[in-house]
Amino acid sequence: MNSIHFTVTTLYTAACLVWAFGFVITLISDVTKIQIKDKFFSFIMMAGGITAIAGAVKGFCYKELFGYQIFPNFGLAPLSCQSDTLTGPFILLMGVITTTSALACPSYTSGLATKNERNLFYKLIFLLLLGTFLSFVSANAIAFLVCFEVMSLSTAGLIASDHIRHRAQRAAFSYITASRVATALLTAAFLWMQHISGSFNFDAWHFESSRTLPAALMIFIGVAIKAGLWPTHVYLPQSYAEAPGPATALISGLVSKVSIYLMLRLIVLGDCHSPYVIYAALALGLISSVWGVLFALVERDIKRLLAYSSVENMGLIMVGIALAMLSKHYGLPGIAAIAVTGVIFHTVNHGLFKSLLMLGAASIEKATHTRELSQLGGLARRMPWTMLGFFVGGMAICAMPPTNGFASKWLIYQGYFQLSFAQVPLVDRAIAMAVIGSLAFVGALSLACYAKAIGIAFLGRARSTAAKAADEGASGKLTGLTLAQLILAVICIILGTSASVCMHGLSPVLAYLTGSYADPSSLFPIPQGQLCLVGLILASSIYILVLGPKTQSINTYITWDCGYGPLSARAEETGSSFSHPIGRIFAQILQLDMVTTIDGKDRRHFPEQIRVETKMSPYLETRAYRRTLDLISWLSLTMTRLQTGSIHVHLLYVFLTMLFLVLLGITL
Amino acid sequence: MTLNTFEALAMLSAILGILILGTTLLRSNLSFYRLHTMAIAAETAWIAHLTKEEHLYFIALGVLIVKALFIPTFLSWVMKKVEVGSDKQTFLAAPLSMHLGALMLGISYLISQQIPGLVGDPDSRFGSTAAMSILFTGVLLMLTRRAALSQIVGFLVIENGIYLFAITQTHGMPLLIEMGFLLEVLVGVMISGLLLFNIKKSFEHIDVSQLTDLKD
Amino acid sequence: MIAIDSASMLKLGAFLVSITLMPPLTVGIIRKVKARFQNRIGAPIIQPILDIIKLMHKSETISKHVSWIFRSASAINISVLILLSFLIPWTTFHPLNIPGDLFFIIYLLALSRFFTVLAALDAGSAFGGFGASREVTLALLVEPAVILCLVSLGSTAGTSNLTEVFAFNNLALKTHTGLWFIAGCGLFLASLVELSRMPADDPTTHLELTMVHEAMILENSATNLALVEMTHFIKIVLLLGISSQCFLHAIPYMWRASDLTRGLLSVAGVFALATTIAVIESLSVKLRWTKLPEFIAYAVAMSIFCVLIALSRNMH
Repeated sequence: MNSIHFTVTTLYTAACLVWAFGFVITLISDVTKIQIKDKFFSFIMMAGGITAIAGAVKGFCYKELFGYQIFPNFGLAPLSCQSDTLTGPFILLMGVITTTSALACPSYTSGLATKNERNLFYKLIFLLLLGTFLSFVSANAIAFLVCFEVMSLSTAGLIASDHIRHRAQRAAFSYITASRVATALLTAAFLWMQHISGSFNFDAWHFESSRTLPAALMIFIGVAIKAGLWPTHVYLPQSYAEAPGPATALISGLVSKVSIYLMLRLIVLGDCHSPYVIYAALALGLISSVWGVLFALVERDIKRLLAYSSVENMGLIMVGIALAMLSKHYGLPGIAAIAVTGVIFHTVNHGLFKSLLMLGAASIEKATHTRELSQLGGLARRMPWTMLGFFVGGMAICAMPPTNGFASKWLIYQGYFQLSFAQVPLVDRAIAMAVIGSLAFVGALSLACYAKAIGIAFLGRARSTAAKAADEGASGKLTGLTLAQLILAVICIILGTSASVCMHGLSPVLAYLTGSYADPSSLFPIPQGQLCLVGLILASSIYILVLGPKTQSINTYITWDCGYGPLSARAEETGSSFSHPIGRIFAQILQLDMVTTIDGKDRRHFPEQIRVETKMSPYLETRAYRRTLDLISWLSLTMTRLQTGSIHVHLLYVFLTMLFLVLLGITL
Repeated sequence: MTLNTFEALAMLSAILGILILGTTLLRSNLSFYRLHTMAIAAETAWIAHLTKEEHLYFIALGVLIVKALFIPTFLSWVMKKVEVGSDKQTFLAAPLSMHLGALMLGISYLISQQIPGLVGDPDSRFGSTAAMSILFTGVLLMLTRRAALSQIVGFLVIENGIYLFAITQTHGMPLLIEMGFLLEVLVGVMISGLLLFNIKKSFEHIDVSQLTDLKD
Repeated sequence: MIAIDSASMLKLGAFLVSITLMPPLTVGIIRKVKARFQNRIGAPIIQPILDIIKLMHKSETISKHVSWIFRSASAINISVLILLSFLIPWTTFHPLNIPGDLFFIIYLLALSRFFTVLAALDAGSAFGGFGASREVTLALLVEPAVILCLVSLGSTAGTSNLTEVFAFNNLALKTHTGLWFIAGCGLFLASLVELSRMPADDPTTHLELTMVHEAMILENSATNLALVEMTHFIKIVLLLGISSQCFLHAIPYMWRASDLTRGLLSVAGVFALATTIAVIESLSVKLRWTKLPEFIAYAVAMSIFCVLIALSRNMH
C-alpha cells in the first residue's frame, strides 16, 4: 500500500470510528444520568462527515481498487472494504449531506422532550451513517448485506421515532416490509452468484453469460424496490413524510443512492448485456418518472410531494443506467461515457438538492407545525432564508439552467440524442426519440409541480394563523437549519455553473466503468458558467437601471380585487386548483373525481351551500396492492381450518410430512 | 431524402388523411377530406404527366369533381338536414387516434419495404406507403367513431387508399373500370346519405353503437 | 468568437437593430392587419414602441403582499430572452458564433416560464393563480412537440447545436424539404399556443376568466409592465423567427442565395408569419379550454411525422 492508499484508508477508518464513538456516547448517556448537548452530537456528525469528504477527495482520482480488512470473519466472509474510483462520488455526497444535516439536527432535537428521545434519535442516526458508509465501501456480499440491513433497520427506526403517532408506526412497518423483500431478493441473487463464481467478492462477479441472468434480474428488482421505482414505490411517500426533518434529508439523500451504487457496481461494471435487464430498467425507469411526478403534482402534503418527486428522479437515473448498458452492449464508447457521467452526476445532484428541499420542508414544518399546502402561504416574507433555499432547490430539480440539475439532465438528453442517430437498430433509435419526448414531458410536469409547491407555500398570503405566525427563529439571523440549506443551495449553483469542470473531474470514474477514455471536455460545450454570468450581469443592470429609479415612487396597495372590497386569503389559488387542469387530463391514471353538491331553495337558482369534494384514489394501491393483501388474508383465514387444535390431527400432519420426505429421498 | 413531386404529393395526401382523425367536428372532417382527395387527384395528374398516359387525366378530373367536390358538398347538405354537428363520444379520444394514425404511417413504411414494388420504378414504394397509411387511417376512423357520417367518411378514406394503391402500383387501370368505381362510390354515398335521413327520423340520433338490436 | 472586420460588424449592427426594432414592429403589424380585417384604420405600426415609452413614465403600484420575486422576475425574464436572441437562430445574420444548444434553449425558455408563473402567484390574486395553472398545463402539452421537432432536425444533422443545424451549409439537411416544412408547421402551431394567440387564448379579451397570458401579468404596472410587454414581444419574434427559418430552409433557392438575400428574406419571413397570425386571429374563434388539448395534438402529430422522417433517414 502506498501513501495515497494509506491516507485514504486512515481517513475512512477515522470517519467510521468517529461515528462509532458518537454511538457509544449515546449509550453512555443512556446508562448514566449525563445530559449531552445537541451541539456535541452534531459536531461529531460533522467531524465524521468532513473526514469522509477529505478521504473521498484524496482517493477520487485513484483508478485502482484497493482493499483492506477491518474484522476477521463474519462467518462466511470477512468485513473487507474496498475503495475505488466508483465509491469516490458517493462518499463525497455522503460527507456533504452528513455535514449539512449535522447543522440541521439540533433544531429538531431541541424540540424533543426527554433525554431518552434525543439519545434514541442520535443513536439511530449514527447507526444509519455507519451502515451507509460501510455499504458503500464493502467488498463482498456478506459485508454488504449486513451493513445494508443495519442501514434499513436504523432508517425504519428513525421513521418510527415519533412513536406516539399511529401513522409513523404504520409508515415504519411498510418500510420494513419493503426492505425485507428487497434484502431477500438481494440475498438470493448473491447466493446464486456465489454458486456460479465461487466467491463472495464483488470484483469476482461477471454478468456476461446468460447463466447469471436470474441473479441480475433479482438484483435489479431488489434495487428497484429499495430505490423506489414503480410499481414498488408505494411505501416511499408515507415513510418520507413521517420521518423527522433532518433524518428525511439523510434518508432521501443517501439511502436510495446505495441501491444505485449497487446497480452500478454489479450490473454496469459487471458488463451485463442481457436485453431483459436493459429494457426492464428502461421501462420501469420511464414509467416511474412519469408516474412519480404526476402524483407529486396532485399532492397536498409537502413531504409526500417531495417523496413522489424522488420516485421521478430515481426513474430518470434508471433511464440513464439503461442507456449506459445499451451503449456498452452496442460498443459505443462515446455515448456510454455521456450516459455514465450523467448517471453519476445526477445521483450526486439529486442527493444534494433533495436534501436541500427536505431541509426546507423540515424548516416549514418546524415553524408552522403543519405540512399541508392548503394551510401555508406568504412564508416568503416571514422565512426568507428558507424560501431562498427551497427556491434554489426547486430550480435545481426542475433542471433550470444555472443549477446542477440542468447539467446532469442535459447529459441524459444528450446521450439519448446521440443514440438516435447512431448505428444501432431502428427499434433502439425509435426508443431513443420516444425517451427524449417523455423526458421533456416529465420536465414540464416537474416545473408545474414545483411552481405549485413554491408558489402556494411561500408566495401570496397566509392561509392560516399558523402560517401568519411562522417564524424561522433567531429573529432574522441564520440558524443551523437555514445555514445548512444555504450551504447546499450555494453548492448546487456552483456545481451548475462549473459543470464542465465537474464532468472533467468525473472522467476517471467513467473511464473505469466504460473502459474507454472519452474526451470529457467535449461533453459539455455550452459555456454555461460564462453565459450565466452574462445573464446575471444583464439582469442586475436592468434591475438597477430600469426598475431601480422607480423604487422610491412605488405605491403599495392591495391586490386587485375587482372592486369587491378586500378579499380574504381564501380567495387565493389553492394547491388542488392549481393542479386541477392537469389532473383532469390524466384523470384515468389518478382516479381523480370531483363531486359537486348544491343545496338551497330550488337548488339551481338560489344556492345556499355549495360543496365541492375532490377525491383521488391511488390506482396502484387500491387495485393491485390492496387486492393482493386481501388475497393473502383470505388464504391465511382458509389455512386456519387446518389448525383444529386436536393433537391427533397434528400428529397425523407430522407423520404425513415424514412419509413424504422419505418418499422424496428415495426417488431423488 | 430527396423529395420529388410524386413523393411530396403522396406524403401530403397521407398526412392530410391522418389529420382527419384529429377532430370530431364533422365539418372539419369533411374539409380535411376535401383537401386530401384534391391531393390524390393532383397525384393522379402527376402520374399522368410522368407516364404520358392520357386517360389518367380524365380519371384525375373525375376524382376531383366527384370525390373532392360533389361528395363532400352532398355530405355537408346531409349534415345540415340531419342537424348533427359533431361526433359527441368516440371510443378513442380524437388526439390519441391521430397520434396512432401517425405511428401507423411509420409502420406502413416498414411494411412497404417488404412488398416488392413495380419493376423499374423505385418511387412506387413510397406510393404504397402512403396508400397503406391512408387505408389504416380509414379503418381507424370506422373503428373509433360512432356517428354514421363518420363511418361514411371512413369508408371514403379507405376507398381513397385502395385507389391510390392501384394507381401507384399499376399506373392506372382502363378508363371504364375507374369510371365504374367512381360511379359505385357516388351511388353508395348517396344511398347512405338518404338512409341517414331515415335513421335520424326513426331513432332521433345517428349513433351506430346504439343500433345493435337485430330485431325487435 | 467575434472577428473584427467590416462584414461581421455590419452583421452585428443589423442584428442589434433587428432585435430592438423588430419585436414591437411585428406586434404592430399584427394589430394593424387585424384592424384592417375589422374595417378599421387601426393604430400606427409603431404604436407598441410608443406604448412602452408611455409605460416607462408612469408610476408604479405594487400589491403589498408580493415578495422579491415579483420585481426581479421581469428583469430576469427580459435578460434571459435577450440571451436567447443570441442563441436561437431566428435570423440568418447572427453575429456571434455561440453554440446554441437545443436543450439549453428549451430549458432557458422553461426558466423564463418558471419566473413568470411564480410572479403571477406572488400577489396572491385568484386571477394570477389560475392564469399560472393554465400556463403550466399548456406548456406541458406543447413541450414534447417543440422538442421533438427540433430533435428530429438535429438528429438528421448529427448535432444538437442549433446554430449548425440552421446554417445553410449542412449538406445532410439540404434535401430534406419535407422535414423542414413539417417541422415549420409544427413549430408554428406550437408557437400559437406558447405565445397565447388564437385559437388558444385571445390577447385582446377583457374577461379574466378567458385569459391565460394576460391573467398572469394583471398585477404589473408602469416600468414592470413595460419590461414584461417587451419580453413578450421578443418571445414572439424569436418563436416566429425559428418557424420562418424552417420554412425558408424548405425552399431550395435559399441554399444558393447570397447572404444579403437570406437576411432580407428572414426579416420578411417573420413579418409574413406575423400577418398569417393576424389572419388566423381574425378568421377563427378562441377554443373552449377543454378543447385545447385537441388543437395542441395537431402540433404533436406534426412532431411525430418529423420523428418518423428523421428515423427513416438511415433506412435508405
